[in-house]
Amino acid sequence: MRLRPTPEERQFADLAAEWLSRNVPREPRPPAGEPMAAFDRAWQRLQYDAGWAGVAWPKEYGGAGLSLVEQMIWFEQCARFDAPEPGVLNIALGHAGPVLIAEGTDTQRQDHLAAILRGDQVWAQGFSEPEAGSDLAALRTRGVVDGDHLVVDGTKIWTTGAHLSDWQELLVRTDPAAARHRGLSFAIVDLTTPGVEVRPITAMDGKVHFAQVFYDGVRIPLRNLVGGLGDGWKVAMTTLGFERGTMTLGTVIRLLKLIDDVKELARTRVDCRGQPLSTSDEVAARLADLEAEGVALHALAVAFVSEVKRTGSSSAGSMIRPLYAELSQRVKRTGAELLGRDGLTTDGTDEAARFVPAYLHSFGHTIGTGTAEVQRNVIAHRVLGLPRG
Amino acid sequence: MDLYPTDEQRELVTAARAVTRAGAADVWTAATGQGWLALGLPEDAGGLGGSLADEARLYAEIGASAVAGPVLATSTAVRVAASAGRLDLVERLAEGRAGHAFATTGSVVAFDARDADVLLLVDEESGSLRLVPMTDAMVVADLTPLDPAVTAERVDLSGGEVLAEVTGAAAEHELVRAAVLVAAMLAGITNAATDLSVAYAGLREQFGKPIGAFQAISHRCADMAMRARAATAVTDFAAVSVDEHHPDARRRVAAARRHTETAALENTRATIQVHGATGFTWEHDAHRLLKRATFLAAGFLPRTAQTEALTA
Repeated sequence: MRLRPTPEERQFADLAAEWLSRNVPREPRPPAGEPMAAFDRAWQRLQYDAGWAGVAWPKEYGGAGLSLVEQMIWFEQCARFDAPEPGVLNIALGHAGPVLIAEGTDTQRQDHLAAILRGDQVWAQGFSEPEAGSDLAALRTRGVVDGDHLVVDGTKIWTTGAHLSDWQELLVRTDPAAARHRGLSFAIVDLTTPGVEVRPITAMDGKVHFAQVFYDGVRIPLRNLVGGLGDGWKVAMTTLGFERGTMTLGTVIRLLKLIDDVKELARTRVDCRGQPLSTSDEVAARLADLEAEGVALHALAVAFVSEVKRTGSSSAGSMIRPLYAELSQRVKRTGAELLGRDGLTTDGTDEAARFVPAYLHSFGHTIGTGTAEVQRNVIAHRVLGLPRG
Repeated sequence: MDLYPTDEQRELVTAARAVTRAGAADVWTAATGQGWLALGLPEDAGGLGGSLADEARLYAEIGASAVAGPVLATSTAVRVAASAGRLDLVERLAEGRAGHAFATTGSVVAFDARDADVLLLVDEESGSLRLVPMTDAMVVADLTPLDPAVTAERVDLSGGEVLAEVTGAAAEHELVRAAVLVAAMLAGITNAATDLSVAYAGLREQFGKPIGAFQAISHRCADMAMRARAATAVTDFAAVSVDEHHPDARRRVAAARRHTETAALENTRATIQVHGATGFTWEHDAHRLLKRATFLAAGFLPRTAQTEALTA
């Protein structure tokens, strides 16, 4: 075991640091809508042109062909230089791309992978429905084969970024007679196709993160199927690992920095007697717990990428996402609570603007990408081998 | 960056597991006979020159067995003797065992002192470790320990003879190592409690199916597994950071100590509950794991010291 970088890892980190120090955008990211998406696309394009996009993607698909270890080092350097997050490109880079690499056809890969790395395509997922949340296999949106097209009718909901997206991954029921997991197919859909309607939904923090999408006789070419007809569940399950393991690595590293910021907040803010909050035993113990859990999560992420590099897989992948989600909630909640009455506005101070919206937004962490409860089911069944209920 | 255990580490774990699963007496025989006490001691002091990461993997297995014997106290005593230049004492201790106390003067509670050759006296406040000779005459009273894996004695320390002492950076180094190995044992306990719970949840049937099919049980098990996986990772992370003199090593050690303490206590409490009335019996191992975790949690680098290191 070693944490010290090899000469190659050191060189990679140094090159990344050197490039990031000169290229991280100085202007703030616009808060919403198309200007925000344009900012994210431009930052991605900058990375792509310099060869930093898709660090762990295979070279044949435009990536750098390196391992998750280098991907992790890249995220560490990004956090160090406060580089913008993937933002609206999160699903494209973290999910749609890896799905197409694993399961897509050559044409699909050619049409989308380079475009995703360039930041030219914004993607959304299309899994949850009004009557199919945690019970995903209960989904009802129908796809009927008509000649060389799939005709889709139904609705998807809680679709993050759908209102800003160009493409969507879509899980639909193509065989109503088959057993519920067997009758599903996985397609990709151009969201400009006639019959698609996107209605944004405002979340509890007052912002639009997601939308409901309606499909009315939407014609999707059969060549846009990923896997064959009826393979949808298999394709959707293969992708669980990307989302819950790899996609979380970057956010884990950023969370460590946020924990530092909460500690700093406790040092700079004072209680009613003028003493720094950090001098209270209760606050100090709470911050120590957050710091310890942050280091443990960092260690688990390093153990995860190490095991994947050495053996090809790691069951820690299913654990990083729920641990991250719950720790992140605690960190953001602590930040908001340390603000006291200053936490009663979302813009009264710089600290309030930083922590209060983050706190409100964090309630979604244990709901999106599979609830905390569903993630525990996955660990219980797939990692621990416990029987299903 | 590579936290995957080496082939040697995995062989060490397999060998250790074969011994620790065999029962109490054999653990101590192995500790002396297979050189566990000297694993991390430098070769020029007669040790095997293993890394702290190697030792951590070994101590996780010792922790999981919950029947440790004074392995950490004795291996630390050997190191204190070596560090103080008392190689004669190192040799004597190769066959001996050390008790320990977190105090240096007066009438104090010590552990595993009754059959010990020396006592390791730890003063974390001033940062010193001291070895004093142990005689039966020093035992004022035999006490009832919370943790059945140790003995507890009230001991009179007024005798005054000191065999060896380390202070300053040398003592600091020993305290950090001991804290990592406490974390390792706690990580082992965290994993052992998970394994016990998962095995039982898959076997025990109620309402016509294994209790592990109920989310009230399976989610508890999933939580335990997450804590266990993170406990192992953060212990490796801290141990390697110490081995490599990483600038963040102290903070990482405190984090490992804090995480594994919380995880071990949570998991051992949970495993008693998962086992129902069986888990409440003396015969079942669940309470031994809880008591071992409680004992270790009070050991090297306790909570207040962790808090200080983690909020600095």
